[in-house]
Amino acid sequence: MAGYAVDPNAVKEFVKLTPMMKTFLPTLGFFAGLLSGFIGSGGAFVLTPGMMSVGVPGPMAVASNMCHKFPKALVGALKRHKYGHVDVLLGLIMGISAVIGVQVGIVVQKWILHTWGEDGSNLYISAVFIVVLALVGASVLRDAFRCKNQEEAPVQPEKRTEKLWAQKLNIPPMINFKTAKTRVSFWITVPLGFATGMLAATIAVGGFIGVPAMIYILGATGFVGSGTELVIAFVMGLAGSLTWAMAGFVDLRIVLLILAGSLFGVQLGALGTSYVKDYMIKLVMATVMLIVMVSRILMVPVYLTKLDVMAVAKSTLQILDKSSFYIMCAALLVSGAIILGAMTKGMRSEKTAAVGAPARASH
Amino acid sequence: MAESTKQKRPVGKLIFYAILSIALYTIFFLNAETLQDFLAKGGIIKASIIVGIAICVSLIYGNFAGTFWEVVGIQGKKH
Repeated sequence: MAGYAVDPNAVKEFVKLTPMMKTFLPTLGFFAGLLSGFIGSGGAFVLTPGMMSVGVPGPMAVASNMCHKFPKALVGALKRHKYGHVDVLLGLIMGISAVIGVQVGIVVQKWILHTWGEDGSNLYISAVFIVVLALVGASVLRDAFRCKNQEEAPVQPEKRTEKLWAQKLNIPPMINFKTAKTRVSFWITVPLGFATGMLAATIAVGGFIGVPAMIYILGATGFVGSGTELVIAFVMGLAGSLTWAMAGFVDLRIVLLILAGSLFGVQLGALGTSYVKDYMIKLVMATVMLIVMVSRILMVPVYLTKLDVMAVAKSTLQILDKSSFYIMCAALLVSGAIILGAMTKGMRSEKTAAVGAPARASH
Repeated sequence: MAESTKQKRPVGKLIFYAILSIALYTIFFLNAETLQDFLAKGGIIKASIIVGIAICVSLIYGNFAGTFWEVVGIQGKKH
């Protein structure tokens, strides 16, 4: 499950591509790309188990996931940059810090693997998933509803002019992030990037910390937070892909099949952000986080049984294992439906406004 | 009046990138097994080739996908 750790002892075994894989992988890629284009990250969590479910060995699945991620993030970032959603400087500083975080995350992962074995490592990954997703997901969801209520209120409240605590801390060097419209210390930005990298090394989706951190700590909007996350994903993904590719684990056939779907999805997701209100990005992010959290909770008894801490029947474990995977797929489909639904609604109201405007002008 | 304000759809650009993308994917998948065996040996040069191919495909195929959405009428809202 982990995103970056390279196991030099893993056996290189490349699968034979079947017609089913040639259909399934681009489809999975499309939905994962759609989510990444919209919230800046998140598609990767289902790709590794998705690839493994059709027979791709674990190390190749992780490596190929990584190698498809950075070019997809590049294309998504270029698209979002057109809409003014990308703060390149913020993305680069956090991205480089994230690469360091990834390296530290790998060391922690290897230590856990060495001490408690593969099941202990899986349990640790699931525990991080559950704690982070529960805390961050619930806060983002609460904020999404608060923003929704404010935007739907008949009288718009005055915009908050009060500075966030991170903006008040004046520790040089202070950096002006023009697109994110915030001025914060370098020493606040770097640890956030580092934490994003640590999380990416553990659960493969650093954006679950990176995007909320940019919104709630640095003061960026949901649009800029999710757009800038694509730059971080590009920098981290490039470094991770080089590491995996140097060890010879990247299956380029699989990378290209996933890209065939995800490059359509990521651009559609990026286009979608121009039709929705800011709270919708937070709503989709929180929904995905909370559904994925449920999926990981189901896996806890499986790992605890393997570690002899719990005793659960084998048939029950198989059901839990499969349910966990299907719930992750459901998270992807639900988010896809919300994004496409919100986008269609936005496009319709745009068309109605465009048709109504000349008619009103002629009166 | 409405017709004149309608944006022209870039069909020519779509065809150009579609041909390039099909050519790229066809060439790759016709030689996929040989290329994969070569790249699996690892090392900095082979890693650079992998990253280079991934970026190249993304830019060409990414342009195709972006133009496709434009041609079918799905475009971003200008703020």
